[in-house]
Amino acid sequence: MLQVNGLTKRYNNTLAVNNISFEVENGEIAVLLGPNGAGKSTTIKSIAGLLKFDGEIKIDGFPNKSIEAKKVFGYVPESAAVYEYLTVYEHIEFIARAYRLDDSWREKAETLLARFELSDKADKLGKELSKGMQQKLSICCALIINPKMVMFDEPMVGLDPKAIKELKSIFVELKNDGCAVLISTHIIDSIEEVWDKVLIMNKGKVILSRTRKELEEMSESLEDVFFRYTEGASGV
Amino acid sequence: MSSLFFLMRKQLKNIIRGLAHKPLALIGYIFIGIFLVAFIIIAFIMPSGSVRNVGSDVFSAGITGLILIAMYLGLRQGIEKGSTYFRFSDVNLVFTAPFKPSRVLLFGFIKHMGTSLFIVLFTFFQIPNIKNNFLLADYGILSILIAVMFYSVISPILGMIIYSISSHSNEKRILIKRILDIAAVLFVLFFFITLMEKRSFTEALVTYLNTGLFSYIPVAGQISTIASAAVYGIDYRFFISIAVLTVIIGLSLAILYNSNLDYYEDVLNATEEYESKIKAKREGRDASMLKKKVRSIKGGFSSHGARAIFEKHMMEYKKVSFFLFFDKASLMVILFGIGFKYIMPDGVSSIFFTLFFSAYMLFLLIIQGRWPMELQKPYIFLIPESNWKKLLYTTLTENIKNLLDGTLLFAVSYFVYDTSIPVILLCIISYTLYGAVFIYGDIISRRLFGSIHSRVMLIFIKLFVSFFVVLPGIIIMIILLNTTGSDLHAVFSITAWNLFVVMCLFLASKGIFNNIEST
Repeated sequence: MLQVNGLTKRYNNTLAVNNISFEVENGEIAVLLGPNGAGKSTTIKSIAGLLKFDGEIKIDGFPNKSIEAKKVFGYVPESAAVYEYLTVYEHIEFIARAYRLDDSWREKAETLLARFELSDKADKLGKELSKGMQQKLSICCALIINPKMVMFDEPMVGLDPKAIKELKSIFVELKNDGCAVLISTHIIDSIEEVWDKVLIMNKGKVILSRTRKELEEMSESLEDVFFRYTEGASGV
Repeated sequence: MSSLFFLMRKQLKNIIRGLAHKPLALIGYIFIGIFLVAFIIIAFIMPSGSVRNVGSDVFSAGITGLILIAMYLGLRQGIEKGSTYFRFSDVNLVFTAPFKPSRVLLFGFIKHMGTSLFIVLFTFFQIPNIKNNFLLADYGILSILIAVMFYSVISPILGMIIYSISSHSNEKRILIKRILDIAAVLFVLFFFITLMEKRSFTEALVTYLNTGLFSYIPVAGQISTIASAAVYGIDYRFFISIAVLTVIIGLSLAILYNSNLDYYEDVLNATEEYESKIKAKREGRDASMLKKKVRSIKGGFSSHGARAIFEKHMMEYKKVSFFLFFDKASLMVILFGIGFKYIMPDGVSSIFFTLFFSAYMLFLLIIQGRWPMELQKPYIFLIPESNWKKLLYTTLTENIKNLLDGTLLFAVSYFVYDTSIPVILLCIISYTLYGAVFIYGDIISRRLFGSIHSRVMLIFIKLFVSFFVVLPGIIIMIILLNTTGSDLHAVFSITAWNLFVVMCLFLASKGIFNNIEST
């Protein structure tokens, strides 16, 4: 479970995120939408523990910067940056060691590599991978730890159709396993089938927070709501 | 921590293994290695002070001045951008992993020690220069290397600390900047007082920078003392300085991870910038184009066809350079070119040394020039113009810049050397042509060896290609100088040769824009 309470982030005189609060329950897929400059990236970097902020962020009940929270937190950044001189398999081995995973990670690694068609690239160095392959590796690294909360920042960018399909099924599997999933994306269509909760940000605030059920009752699509709230009046 | 050691071990192993799979690169690295070892041996065995023996006080003044300037600039940069030991892969995979931030910092510190060793290795290239001009004491080289090592280790730590202190509020940032600037103004002010007393710039500078007070400035004072032991000999102050610096490093690290566990954000900015610089270097782009302050300029395009490329480059120059073509590179070429006269002993000094040394500097600057940026984007290949025109206009701004830099350099040289205006004019043309040789030689090297994965290797190849093509001109010049004794004939011969080489290289380069694979 992810809990964000009163998150505020200021860069000098610019208020990037203004006192936002939201939750992503276990077994829930939340999607974070917003136009460029809405504060999504700052929110994501704050949740990932990369920024200082005011307010409180908890992952699985622990402060997000604590070791306990990090142990159960998976993160797929917007731009995959991998180690140039580490092979695909060594990346996963490094993560397994860093997170002190038991030996079962090897079996899971094989499965993940196969699903993302990286099995035959296991011995390739990071610098030899294409952007898309780096993104796939980044996803494998986030999933190998069996996260209880996982955050994807523009996960579909650079992926081939097969990988996009795999990733969508992984979203559902994570949800069924009770994992809290937060996805930030601009490609609304790509998450249309899987989302449970939508959070729309604009000008540093969460201007809309709705569940799928609530939107269905209003007979509105995710895309309609997005454009209405980001182009029109501010919020709910 | 073991998993972080795993990470470092595996990366090192893969780098070595990767070389074994690329015999050409391996041969190149072995060659560079031999070159470096030879340089190290020469640095140790060559006699010192054989060309001339400049006073020890000049050496220590130079070192103190350099360190004070470097520290001032480093701290100013630290306030704005911070400093980093990390790469983006560390941010994504290590910062988010369940490690204590203190361990992550230690990991970064250990990684940086490797970089410091490299910097120390490359310091050896300067040792022969130092030995030619100064009489070094026993273990003099060692003192210089230890000083360089300490500086390269401690400067990122100071950058991180000052950023973490100043980044919390704009007021703090401004206050710290002002304190630094006031210190700099006082530094200059006191120098002028000394200058008024001594009435000689050099004497005043040497006296001023040897003032005992500077040796008490934390970090700068100790590094200066260690480096100055190269000429004064190792004494108790050398060891005290090492001890003090070790304590400062230890304390700084302790401060960083005890009082500020939340330093990830402090290094994020610098890591992003560092990553962009690495990317720019790999792509052969000029990293200065990444600087964030871009001026808005009026006016747009007025030309058509290939000339539009030239116009685009002019617009880019106007946006990032304050004095259009005059930039840091121009200043460096002029300062080093003229400064070289004063490094050479009086009897040997000649305008040709300034020409050759500034040409060498120009080579180093051109290998990271701006025009190769075009090769990374598809537009240049798609523009429906002849390759001749595209090549001419793509490289025109660089050639104009070299002409202007050359004009400035040799206009100053006219007053420094006892020479004539025709010689100066030919030196300007020759300098510009050297620039053109390097530009078109770069293109030829890219066409022939572009597939080589290592950028360092490619730079060495370009160096050899350039050296090979300009060498006959230098030989002809030396012969003419010895037979006729005329500087004018000599510089005319070298200019004519360079013109011939440029024409040949230009003709051979035009295919660069045939397709992206030619690069």
